[in-house]
Amino acid sequence: MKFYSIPVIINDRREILLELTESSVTTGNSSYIVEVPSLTSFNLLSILRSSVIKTFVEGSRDLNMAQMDAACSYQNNVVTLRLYERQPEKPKEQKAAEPEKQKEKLSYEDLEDFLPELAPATPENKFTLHEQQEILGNANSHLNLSFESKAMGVYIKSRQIKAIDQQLFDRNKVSLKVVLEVNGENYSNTLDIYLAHPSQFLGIALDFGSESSQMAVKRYSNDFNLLEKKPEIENLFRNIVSFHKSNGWVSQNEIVDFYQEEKNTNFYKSLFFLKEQLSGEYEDIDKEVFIKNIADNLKMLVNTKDGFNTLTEQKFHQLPNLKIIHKHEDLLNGISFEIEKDGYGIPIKMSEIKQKVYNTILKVMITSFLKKEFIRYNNATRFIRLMLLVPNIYDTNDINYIQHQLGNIFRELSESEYQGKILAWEVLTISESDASFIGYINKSNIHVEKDRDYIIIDSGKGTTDFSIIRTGKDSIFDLKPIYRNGFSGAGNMITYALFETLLHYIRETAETKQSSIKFIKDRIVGILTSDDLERKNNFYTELERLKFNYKGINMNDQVRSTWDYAKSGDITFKDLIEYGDGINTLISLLSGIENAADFYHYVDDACNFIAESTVSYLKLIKENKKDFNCAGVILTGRSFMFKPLVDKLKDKLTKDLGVDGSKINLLNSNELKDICIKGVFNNSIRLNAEMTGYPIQLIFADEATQEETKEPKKPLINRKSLFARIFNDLNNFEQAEKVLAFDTNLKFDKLQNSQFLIGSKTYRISGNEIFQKTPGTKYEANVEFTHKGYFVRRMHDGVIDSIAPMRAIDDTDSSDMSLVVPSLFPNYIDEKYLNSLLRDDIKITTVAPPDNNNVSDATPNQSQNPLYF
Amino acid sequence: MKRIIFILILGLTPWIGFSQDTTHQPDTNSGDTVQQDIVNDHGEAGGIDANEIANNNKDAISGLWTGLIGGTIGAVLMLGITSYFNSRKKKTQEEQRIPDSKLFIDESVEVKSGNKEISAADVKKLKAEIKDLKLKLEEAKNETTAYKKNLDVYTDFDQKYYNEAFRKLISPMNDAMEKGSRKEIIETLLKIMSHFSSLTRYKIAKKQAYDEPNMQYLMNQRMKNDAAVEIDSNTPVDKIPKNIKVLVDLLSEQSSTGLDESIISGYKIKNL
Repeated sequence: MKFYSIPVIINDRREILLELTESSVTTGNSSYIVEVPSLTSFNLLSILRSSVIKTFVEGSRDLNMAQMDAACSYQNNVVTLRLYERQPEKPKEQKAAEPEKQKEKLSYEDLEDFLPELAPATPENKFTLHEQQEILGNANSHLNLSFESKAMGVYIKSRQIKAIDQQLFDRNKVSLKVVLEVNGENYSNTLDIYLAHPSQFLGIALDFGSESSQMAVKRYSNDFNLLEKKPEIENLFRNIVSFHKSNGWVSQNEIVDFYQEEKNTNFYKSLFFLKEQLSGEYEDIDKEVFIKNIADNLKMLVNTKDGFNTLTEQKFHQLPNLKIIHKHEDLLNGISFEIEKDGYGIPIKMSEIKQKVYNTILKVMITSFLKKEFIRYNNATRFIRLMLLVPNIYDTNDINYIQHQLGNIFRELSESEYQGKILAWEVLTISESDASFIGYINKSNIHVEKDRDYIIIDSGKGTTDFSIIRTGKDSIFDLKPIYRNGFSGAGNMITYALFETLLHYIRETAETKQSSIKFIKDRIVGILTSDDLERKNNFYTELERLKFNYKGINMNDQVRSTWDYAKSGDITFKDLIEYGDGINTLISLLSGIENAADFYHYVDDACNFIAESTVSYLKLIKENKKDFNCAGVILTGRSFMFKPLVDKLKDKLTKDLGVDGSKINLLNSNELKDICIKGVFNNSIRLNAEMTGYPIQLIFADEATQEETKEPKKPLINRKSLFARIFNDLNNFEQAEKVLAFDTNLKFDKLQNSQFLIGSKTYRISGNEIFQKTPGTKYEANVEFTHKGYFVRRMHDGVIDSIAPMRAIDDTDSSDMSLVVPSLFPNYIDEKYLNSLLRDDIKITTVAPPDNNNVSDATPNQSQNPLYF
Repeated sequence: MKRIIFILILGLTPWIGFSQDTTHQPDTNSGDTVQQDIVNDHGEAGGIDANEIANNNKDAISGLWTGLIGGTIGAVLMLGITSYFNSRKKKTQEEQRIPDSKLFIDESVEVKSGNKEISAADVKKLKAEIKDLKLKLEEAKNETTAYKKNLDVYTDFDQKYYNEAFRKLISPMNDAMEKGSRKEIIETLLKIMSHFSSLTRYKIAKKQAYDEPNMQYLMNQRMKNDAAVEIDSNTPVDKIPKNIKVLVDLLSEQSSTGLDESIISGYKIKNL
């Protein structure tokens, strides 16, 4: 499809790429809510003169906004902004003069003078800009609309014509149609702007965390002041409980606790259960985006009394972290779901059902809040802006999909339950680590510098996300995403490393003739993967406690001696297998230990992995972005409560990235989680939340040499350290030549041997056409983001002559799983990924020959365990 | 006469010690206080330290050999000395009533003057040996007392434990079987299992943390640090470990209220 892409700024807070097409097809999210300030004029839409209109029409060139003229009209609530190439008179004269000059100078053969002529003189300077200012008319009872074309940009503005009071506007919607006239053809797109009276505005921020979720809300006071209220954190858990009760999903009178509650917080723990045999009338299983019969099939509240056991009996499955398994549905192949239709059980894969679950959960979260909102403000009408925080591992497609589904949720609500109450909605997504930075700059006593790069590293339970954000040249609030990425591996991976340490220690110290591996598999891992909630909980509580009481490597001997002497009754770790009571004795032994340490370097490996991976990715940018100018690093997330990880990361950042230690700020994660979600309401921050960052061209060696280098990529047979295996993936990038592929920096000649790292994904060019070139022609290429994904455009003398889409490379292989499985701990354990069981270099304690003096030897069944219960 | 008794004691002491250690004869004289003291003084949780018992057994065996050798030497020496005096002083033997403390000295004086074959050095040597043997005798006496005390403790424990076991477990089991009461059979079987496991682990010195309170309960003793988790009718199902849940189900099927204070795997099932 032919289209032009133009960067526009909506309401001074969001930068989007508006795609102008021949048929004016609306793409993506096209509704925006603008809360009307009571006094000042405000921009509805701005297009900066410094921006470039990118073409996706073969045979055409990009257009500089500086060269564009603009005209605006307003009719039937539609503002039409026409952009067209000016036919400058002066340049014509110049062009006419130029050939003459050329003729003159040809005879001199002066190379220095000749060269500038090949490159046409910068045309922008030759255009004289006609500054315009025009009142377009009244948008409604209180506001008018105006158009301005100035040196800095083109603006559509609005101003109060009447004091904003409690009287609502008579009209709210204004459509903005942007038309680009180029080569006699019109390309256009339309945005709907809803001018919301302050009392009707409702801002919702939702952080659907892998561990817990929270919601914040922003309103304006509905009195004569109409002041912006401080964002409030909603008690999401309470809302969901009330919603369940009002729907009769939970008994009204039932006073029980739920696992989803995080006491003394407003969080809702992300714990979901889905029934194996799904009921409900699905017309088209694939097209249906929600789970039917939520009450019967999806449990978002589980009582702490018998909820877990009841659900297990009814064959419900707990869904592991939805974010981490995002691209790893295969992990849950063991769990199969079925939808019954016309007597047939139709098997549904986890990957197919997962998105429906996610959509349904979002719907319940939003609806549960809205129900309360409309109960409290009975006759109110609302313009809603929802901001969803998303992890960096989500790519454009994922984000588009979520935005689309959120749009569907609001559409459905506005057409049914809240008809006439939800007047319009806007759905936005924002990266979690970006939100953290916004939260950070919102903090008082923080100094943020202009035109500098900031690195934000957010390491939670399951994933580590990081962003590089550039602050604006003029305003620190004009944020530009440079790079976003993330990987599976954070706090859970460290707990997993401690678990490995424990298993290794048991294997090493056990004095038994039995197989310690079998014991661990059957009596420990077996219980932890069963539905024995109580014992699992008891075990993890001890493990988490030890993680908090972790001692550094210099305390290894002391800590080890406390482990060696730990006793439960008469039983020590040595006797655990022979005489212990399985996991019960293990829990009891652990409860007698105060500290943990890294006896076998599992924890060190995990911390190293997280630090190395983060820094390696960041290094790609640092080394390839010439103007990289880091002003600070912000560390946030619960994982950074683990000091060895902070130390390791600080060390890496200082050594490998040359970051000054004093510029690394460690933030209190709980405090930040609050600031972060409230921060997204800051309207003065302009951010392009759609782009995942700049593409990085990875140029690999020729195929012949690639074959040679491929060998070490295979998983190492020596399983001494699984993490060592993981580093191989990063090493692959190390081997490649890297080019930061923006502003036509991309190396066209090596395109065929290239992959592109964009955000967390690697892409390659799809199709062959772009590589077919006319000999002797100099080509340039660049990578451009669109709502349909990333494209490579080939240019010849500034004219686009070929466009090729980019396809994400499916790199889900087994080595990824070695990252994913530890990140899902303790909700998912797979013996295949327990390094402490796989390695054969553990020195096993030799069992002493039978002691004849031992009284117990008199019993004939001495080698057998005593009775277990 | 006194000498004969002494010899007999000297020679037989180790045998007595050994037989005391192995026969486990019930001692009706040992009271509750002794048992309580031992239970409280030994082991980290205030229980009987079975390691000590094992060590004592080893000591008993080594003590046995020392006693045997010492006793034999003593017996041979004494027999030699006695037969010598018997031949020389046969007539005056019964008339003489020499205090025990002067017995050997006076005899040696007589030996010195009466028999030239026994030199003064020999007498001195013999005196030293006698002194040594006297010390050993004293030690053996102490050991015997200790063994006896321990034996008393063990026999007392065993008697008390098995008496109670009979009263609380065996007898109710027989009654339950006679009555054909499934509920009581299940309850008593589980109790038996619980206590037999604790006792077994205790006897092989591999007791679990909850074994001691379990045994104390059976013997009606005051329980110290009973950290067992109680499971009753109000315990949420989700808080019951699977290995206990199966027992709870088994008991519930029989409308049982639980196993009182008996501990299984660190849990008490009561008031179901």
